[in-house]
Amino acid sequence: MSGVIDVSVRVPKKLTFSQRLYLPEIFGGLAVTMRHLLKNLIRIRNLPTILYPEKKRDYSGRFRGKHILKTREDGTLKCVACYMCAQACPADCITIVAGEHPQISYEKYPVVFDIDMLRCVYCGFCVDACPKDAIWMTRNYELAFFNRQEAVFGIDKLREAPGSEVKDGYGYRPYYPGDGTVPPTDASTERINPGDGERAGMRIHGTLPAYRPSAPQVGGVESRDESSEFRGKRSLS
Amino acid sequence: MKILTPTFLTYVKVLLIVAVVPAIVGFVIVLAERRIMGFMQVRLGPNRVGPKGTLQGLADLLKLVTKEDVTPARAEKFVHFLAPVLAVIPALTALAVIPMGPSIRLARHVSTPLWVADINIGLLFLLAITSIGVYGIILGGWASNNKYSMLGGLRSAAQLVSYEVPMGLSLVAVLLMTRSLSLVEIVMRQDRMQLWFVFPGLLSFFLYFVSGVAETNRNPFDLPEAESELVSGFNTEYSGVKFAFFFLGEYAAMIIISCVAVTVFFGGWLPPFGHVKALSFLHIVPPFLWFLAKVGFFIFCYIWFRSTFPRYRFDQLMALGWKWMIPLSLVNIVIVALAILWTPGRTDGLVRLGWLFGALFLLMFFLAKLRQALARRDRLASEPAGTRQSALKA
Repeated sequence: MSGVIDVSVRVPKKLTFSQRLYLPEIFGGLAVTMRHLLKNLIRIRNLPTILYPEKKRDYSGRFRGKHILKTREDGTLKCVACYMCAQACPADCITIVAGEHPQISYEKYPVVFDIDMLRCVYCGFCVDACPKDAIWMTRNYELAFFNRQEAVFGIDKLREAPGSEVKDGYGYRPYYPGDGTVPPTDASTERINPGDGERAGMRIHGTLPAYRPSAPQVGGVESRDESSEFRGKRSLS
Repeated sequence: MKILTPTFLTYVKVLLIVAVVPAIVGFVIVLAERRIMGFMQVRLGPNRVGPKGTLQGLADLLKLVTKEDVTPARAEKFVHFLAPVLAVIPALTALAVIPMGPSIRLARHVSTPLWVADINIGLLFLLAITSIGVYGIILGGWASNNKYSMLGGLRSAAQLVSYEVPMGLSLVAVLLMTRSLSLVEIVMRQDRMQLWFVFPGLLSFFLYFVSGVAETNRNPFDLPEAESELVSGFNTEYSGVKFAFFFLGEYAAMIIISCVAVTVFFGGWLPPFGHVKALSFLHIVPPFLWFLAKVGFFIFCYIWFRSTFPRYRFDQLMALGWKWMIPLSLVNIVIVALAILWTPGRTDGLVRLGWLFGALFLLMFFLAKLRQALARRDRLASEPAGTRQSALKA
């Protein structure tokens, strides 16, 4: 069969006698719905419906939801306002205004960092483009607004508050092969089979495991710390 | 106990019917419909308002009452207002003659039957008054000044005219057995004959219930409000309380059809096989509850049909009515009459007819099973496992 497209024509079959008699088929149809009713009443937990706001499907660790601006340990944004994300953005939804940071070692910082959530196509290119690992994505997809102005998220809505939990957990984020970070999918994704219902694949909101980069590997692999400032994200050589 | 005069009790019963039936419709039937249909369609149905969704009816009611009641600018204002009333009142009126149970004792020397009126033309009254209900739909469709509403109303009229006939004729076959139009007498006679009329009247019942579903504009005969063709049919231009009235009218008509089916074919308030000694414990359950349970079953059937069958096309509907239902109901009258003449003065002939119908029914059931099994075997044989076609069909 490989490579061959099956184009066999299906001619509708002539109705059999009992089908033309109509009634047996009617009762057959009734039996189907009754079977569904009984099955679903007895095993109500197997229904595929998710009681959404309370329970959520556990999306992939690479899910591309709302962005988050990472912070340094002192709470300042990692972002150095290099405009790389704005350049990479195919939807042109990132607006940055750069400023001079009072602390001399940080040099530049974004005075304004706006993402228009209505223009964003959630492609994740900004995350890929960022040389400072400053913009990640989360699994938060609950982005509803009352007007278009509200849809433009500034630094106050985008920055990661130090110490507090990230809503729905981190989603798409950098993964450097060989530098000791863990591929995001390993930590927090589990297979969801449709029909597993309330039992599998869904957790009560807020219990997603926190992202924890693994400890730097010994020998040869550079650890990710803030001192190696201008390290390219993917090996530039 | 001067106050408990029969007249006063009648007023009380009327008030109860007018107050309780809409409440039952709003709180029980609609919720049951939505949840049962949900489970049949592998989903949950409304489960948010109140525990397990029990207060959904209240929420719907509040929504409908607080909504703006729009009357289209070029509508016929008075008729537009009259139509929903005409849809509800006949359905509630018809409940007056339904016997829901034998007499109950309220106090010493005071007892009252569980029906408002036992009139000797009960069944005729029922058919007449429920037919008025369609005027609500036709007038509503016409007064809205909207072509979709108009078409819905027209369809309803045609449908009603077509299906009144087999409904009436199927009840004629029962009248041959009861020799009375009084619904109380019909139940009493089933008690005396020790036979529910559904057994000799299986075909009658079938014809009656199918016509009843068509009369109430429910699936698969809900052409007057076919969303895919007519937006919402006759009630397109209705909103708020008026829409709620149409809604109530439709469900009250369902209750009426179910009540008549129970009274005429399923022994009203009588327990099943009440004359069999071994089953005499069934008499412990109050008669009214038997009646309620039976009516509930037929309401369930309505819901069951709705989630099972797709809608008829209009010409199919007419063909079914005129080419099948009416001839069949005529043949049915002859069959029942012959069965009565078979053993004049006794019920043996009717019992034998009941066995015959039962046997035919079983035969059909097993034929259907056999056909399914054969079709399955053929399908499995013709397509080896794992090929594209069998994967598609699975």
